[in-house]
Amino acid sequence: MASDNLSRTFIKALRTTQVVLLHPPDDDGNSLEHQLRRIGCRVRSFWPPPASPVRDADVVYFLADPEHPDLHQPYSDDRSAALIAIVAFESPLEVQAIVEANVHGTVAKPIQPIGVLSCLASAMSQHRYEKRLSARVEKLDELLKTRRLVERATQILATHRQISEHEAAAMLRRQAMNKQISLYEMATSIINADRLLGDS
Amino acid sequence: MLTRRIGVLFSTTGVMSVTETAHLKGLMVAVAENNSAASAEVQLEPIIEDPGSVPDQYRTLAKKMVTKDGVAAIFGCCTSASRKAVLPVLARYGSVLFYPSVYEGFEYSPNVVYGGATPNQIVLPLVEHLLATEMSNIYLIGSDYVYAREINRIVSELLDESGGQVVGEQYLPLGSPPEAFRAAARLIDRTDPHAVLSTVVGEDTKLLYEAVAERGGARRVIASLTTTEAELAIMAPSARAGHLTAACYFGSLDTEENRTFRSLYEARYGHHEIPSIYAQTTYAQVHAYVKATLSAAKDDPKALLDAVRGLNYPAPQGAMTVDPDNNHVFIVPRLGRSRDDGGFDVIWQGDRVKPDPYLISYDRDLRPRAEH
Repeated sequence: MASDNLSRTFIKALRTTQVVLLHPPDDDGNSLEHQLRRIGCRVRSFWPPPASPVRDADVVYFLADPEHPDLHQPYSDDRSAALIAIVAFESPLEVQAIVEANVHGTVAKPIQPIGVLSCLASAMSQHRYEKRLSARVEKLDELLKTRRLVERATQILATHRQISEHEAAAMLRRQAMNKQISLYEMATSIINADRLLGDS
Repeated sequence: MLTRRIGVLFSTTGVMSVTETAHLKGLMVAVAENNSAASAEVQLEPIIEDPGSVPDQYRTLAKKMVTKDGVAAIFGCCTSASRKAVLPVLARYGSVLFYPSVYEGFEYSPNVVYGGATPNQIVLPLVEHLLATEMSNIYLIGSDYVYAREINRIVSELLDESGGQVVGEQYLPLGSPPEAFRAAARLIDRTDPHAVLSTVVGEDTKLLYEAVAERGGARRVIASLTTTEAELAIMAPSARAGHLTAACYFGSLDTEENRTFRSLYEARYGHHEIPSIYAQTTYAQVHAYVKATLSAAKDDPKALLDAVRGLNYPAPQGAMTVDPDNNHVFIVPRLGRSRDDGGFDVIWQGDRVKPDPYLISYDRDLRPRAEH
């Protein structure tokens, strides 16, 4: 996958970029596919779209028109590939559909070779940025969750042992270290134990 | 008999006049040859304008040619700036540009027939040659615009991955004064590279070569993609000899088509002038145009473009084929060493190379295989 190569230059990474194209093989579809190949991408075209979504793509181009409103669905939910809409209409409903699919870029019909490369570059960099941000959000979520549990467990320890919260927090950390488990696990087991004892 | 108007858009004034006058001369030789042939099936009527080396003027005049003069095809442009200026006109009216120059690649317009080499076709052989002759420390000097910067990006990458080194990189505005080139030559001497790689274009070439020659001592080799017989002709004879140029054509090539071309060229412009790749390429492209026009189903740009795709045509540089994948041509790369009489000795010739404008399929490590 191209993501391993993106620390190298973008142009080089193109040579290993896996593109999935969901568009009928008409003039526009062919002209987009040829330009993608010309700039060095590996392209797989599907029409009709495959029953189960292609999972190893770096970029997915999909036709966005009133007759095919849902082509992007499996890909826009999972966000593992950069998404580019191929648009022919700019009617309010179609624009709304693009907004909802949350795409990284659009190419307009009739397809012109110029613009394909720069749209791909910006879509891939936006997708990369989105991935970095969501990884960070996930990590922060974890951290926040741990912190809440640690606070709760500290209070339990302080109450049971009649010690200050500061001492309780130090005890929690020490125990986690001795048992070689994470603070999260340590706090969870204290809270669970307290719940069990409280129930009896 | 058919008659076709063709637009001709080369600058005979301004900074690009040396190069583009050469383009124009080659075109005129081909038009005269075609129109005077007893077997001619189409008469060409060139509409010639001088854009004065100003990109906006290329666009204005291209539009005029297409809308007022009714031409389907324009022969013109040399710099990328002028070509990019004309592209919107082509896209809007569907017209065709026969573009005769070497350029930095990374473009495909279905309306352009690219007649010059792409970087994979000549930059690679040139860098390979430099490395094979133990010239791995390279000083890059260029005219300050997209061509030089893009070629140097590619060269730096190639050197970097092949154990070579860029020891200096410098860009001079087009039309810089002689003093700027003398300062550059001093700087080059201080960094002491094995060779200079020049992407200086047009008249400025003369100033660079003369400045390097003025330094005296053993001549430092300048390797170039754009120094041709036309540039050697305007510089002091003492500054000419011993430099390298990578190109697909040199005036000294011994082919039947080149002998014909040279005799026509000399008959028109005199024996003192050796035609360069600039003249050769427009000459060949006019013949390609005639062949495509005669086989096109209709008199419109779309039919002309369909006929050009995959077209085979003869040229002084050898048999040509337009790659239907990208409208660029297959070429045979060559290396020439300049002589003081303004010509080149061909010192190396490769196999035919497919054009790869987006550089998708080359090996960036150019060291001889045994060293890998």
